[in-house]
Amino acid sequence: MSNLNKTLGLVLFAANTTVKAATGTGQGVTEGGKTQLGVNYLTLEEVVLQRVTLCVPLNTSKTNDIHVLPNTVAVVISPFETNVATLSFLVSDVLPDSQDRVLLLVYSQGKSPSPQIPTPLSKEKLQLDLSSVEILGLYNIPASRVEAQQATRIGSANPSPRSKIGFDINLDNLSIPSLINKGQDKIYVQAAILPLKDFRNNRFDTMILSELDEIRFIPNSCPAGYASTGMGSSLSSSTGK
Amino acid sequence: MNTYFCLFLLVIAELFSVTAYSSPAFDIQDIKLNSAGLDSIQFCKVTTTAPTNTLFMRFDSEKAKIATLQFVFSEMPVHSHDSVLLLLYSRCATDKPQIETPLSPKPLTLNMSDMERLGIFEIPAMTAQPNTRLGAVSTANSQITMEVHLELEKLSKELAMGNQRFYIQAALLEKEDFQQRHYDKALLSSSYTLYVNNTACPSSEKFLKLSHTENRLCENLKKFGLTQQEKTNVKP
Repeated sequence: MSNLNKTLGLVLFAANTTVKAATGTGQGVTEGGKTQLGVNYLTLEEVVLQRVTLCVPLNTSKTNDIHVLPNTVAVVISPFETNVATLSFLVSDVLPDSQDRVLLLVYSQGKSPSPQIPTPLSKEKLQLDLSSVEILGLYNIPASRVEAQQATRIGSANPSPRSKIGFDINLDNLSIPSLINKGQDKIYVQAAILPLKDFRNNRFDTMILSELDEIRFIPNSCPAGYASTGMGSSLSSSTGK
Repeated sequence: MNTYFCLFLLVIAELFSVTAYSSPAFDIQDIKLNSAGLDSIQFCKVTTTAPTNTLFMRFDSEKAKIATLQFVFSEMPVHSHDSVLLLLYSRCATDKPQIETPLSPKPLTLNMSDMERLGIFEIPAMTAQPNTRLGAVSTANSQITMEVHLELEKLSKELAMGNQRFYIQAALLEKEDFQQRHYDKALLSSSYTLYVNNTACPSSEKFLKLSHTENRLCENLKKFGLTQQEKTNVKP
């Protein structure tokens, strides 16, 4: 699996060169356009599942309102925790599409001052530094047919349902404390979706991206100026967004 | 030996705790009215002890044409096979399921003679490819939200015919089973009852009386079966 990981990281990294050549060829489709969730941007949220505490800045913390979490959070992981700690990343909305696609959850330990890959179809731009990028999760989403909905005696359904996809990540108990000790305690995460054929051809300019979330790993308790959001349960705690 | 056994139990307990988080039962988690800014449509608060999963919608068909209901499903583990999600309704319910669904903790409560399919959605299989450095993907879940547009003029006609309540259930089954009509393999959601009224929200007393009255159609159905006009294609 680590080989796959490296390969995907390299694929994404290699795309940088490929796509840069396309700069200036009719980019800027999203400029001034209407923003539609799932069409030209995604959203990303973090939810604690077990053995981690999620901390948010005090000025943004809202009790029982976990689905409006800010994009900067801290995650407390005890250095003495030997059991699996799980953090969930929720990506909204995935709409049906007639082509096969890939949904990626990507993180990097660095942020880039400007996008290293232009993504004209996306309202949100790539902010990760690709030199340390790694794919945390990847899902192949096959093409799905949007079924024509039949008329009934009382009405009919919208043929395009919306899906929220959750990646539950078992955090590595050994490497995260080690990263904290080295002072490399911060990661930046973005979600992206793109056609499978483009992914295979290293064409990343067709990506639709989420906003950038910043996660800081902390060893003991929430840092000063932060409050704990408590424990949550994956997707169900964030409905109604 | 005892230590190993305890460790074994701990591992089992751990596995089950993860499963409980990631594999909740299939169900409708919430139904919301998505007609923002429309005073002419609302969900009524019925103060009497209404049965669970009961909704009451008031509307004014002179002022609005469509009421959009948003069905939020519980999170479902991502499967490696294609699935089909169905939203079904009928105007009459049955005490005894008309199809046995042994895999489903919840039985079919809809009367199939009158059942119609409000929505059908394909849920594609997804292939997980977990990676690691920071950690590894343990599970993936998806939560689906679908919208149903109810035509208020049609609902008014139903009301005029004495049909005020609609039973709604969702079903999830593998695409292959759906194509081969193996409906007994379905997982079913809880049954919801939607009452509609084109005038005002009912008082508690009126609602209590209403909840003990069947749709006129169901009384006829028991006596004579469906009339030609009432018959529709019943295909989930």
